[in-house]
Amino acid sequence: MESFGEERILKSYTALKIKFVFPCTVQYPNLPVRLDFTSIIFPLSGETFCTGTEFLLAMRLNCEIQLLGGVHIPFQNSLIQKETRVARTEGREILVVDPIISSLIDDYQKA
Amino acid sequence: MLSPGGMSLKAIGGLYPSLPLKKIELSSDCYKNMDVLQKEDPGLFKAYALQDAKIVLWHALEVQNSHYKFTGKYSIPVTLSSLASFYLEEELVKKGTGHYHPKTGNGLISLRNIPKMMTPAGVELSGDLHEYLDYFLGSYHGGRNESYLYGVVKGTFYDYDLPGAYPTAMSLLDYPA
Repeated sequence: MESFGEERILKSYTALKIKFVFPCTVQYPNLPVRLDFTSIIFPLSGETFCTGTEFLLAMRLNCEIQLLGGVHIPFQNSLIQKETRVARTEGREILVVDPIISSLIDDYQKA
Repeated sequence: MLSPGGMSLKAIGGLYPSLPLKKIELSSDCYKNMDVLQKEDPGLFKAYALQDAKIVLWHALEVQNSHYKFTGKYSIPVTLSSLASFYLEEELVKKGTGHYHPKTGNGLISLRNIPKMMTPAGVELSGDLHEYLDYFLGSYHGGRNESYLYGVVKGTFYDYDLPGAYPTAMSLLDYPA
């Protein structure tokens, strides 16, 4: 997360698929999980899709996050080098548009 | 769908003050018992119904004219937002800001037609777009609306509203690289 940098996420279109567990002391977890076509809950743990900003807030709440895949497209003016790469984790094929997410997935796989 | 911000029919009639399109007001009892009004005052019942229809017809024709003016298509658009997005894109092009077209392979597939993209041919012809799309679609959950307290609670409550919160946040966005 430190290598990723908050500004880098904020200045991008980022969408991720994650598994997450918040500490039980978190009163208002911020990650939405769909129950069915009309209901959304905000549980302490689960699997969901989220945006980069939701990811950032969850990290601030000391959430443990396992990244399953995602797309990171920097803003045109954020001067971040773009690279397209397909990574594979847990049998899923993941399209990665930015090398930073690639390295994050690598880190998680090693961990 | 064709009124700005879910305007009432009365407000829509008010958009054309120079025309006799003022909505006829009835008492609240009449609204609840239209069948009684029809029996007791058929003239008023008929005038009320016709006036509402006239307001709708005139507004639809005005929207149709605007649609023709902005897009060259002489039809009534499904929503005002589709007309607004076309107008905005035209203005951006005029001002030299340009417009953004997502990468769609050979250009045969458009984001405006997602069902077409989710076909064997669509997936193949859409370049990388179909691979990005799932993550962004899945991440859209809408606004969070939740009550943290239930029942009778004593004390002072503050209700904060942020006018234009969504457009303000969106103004910080940039074109994708």
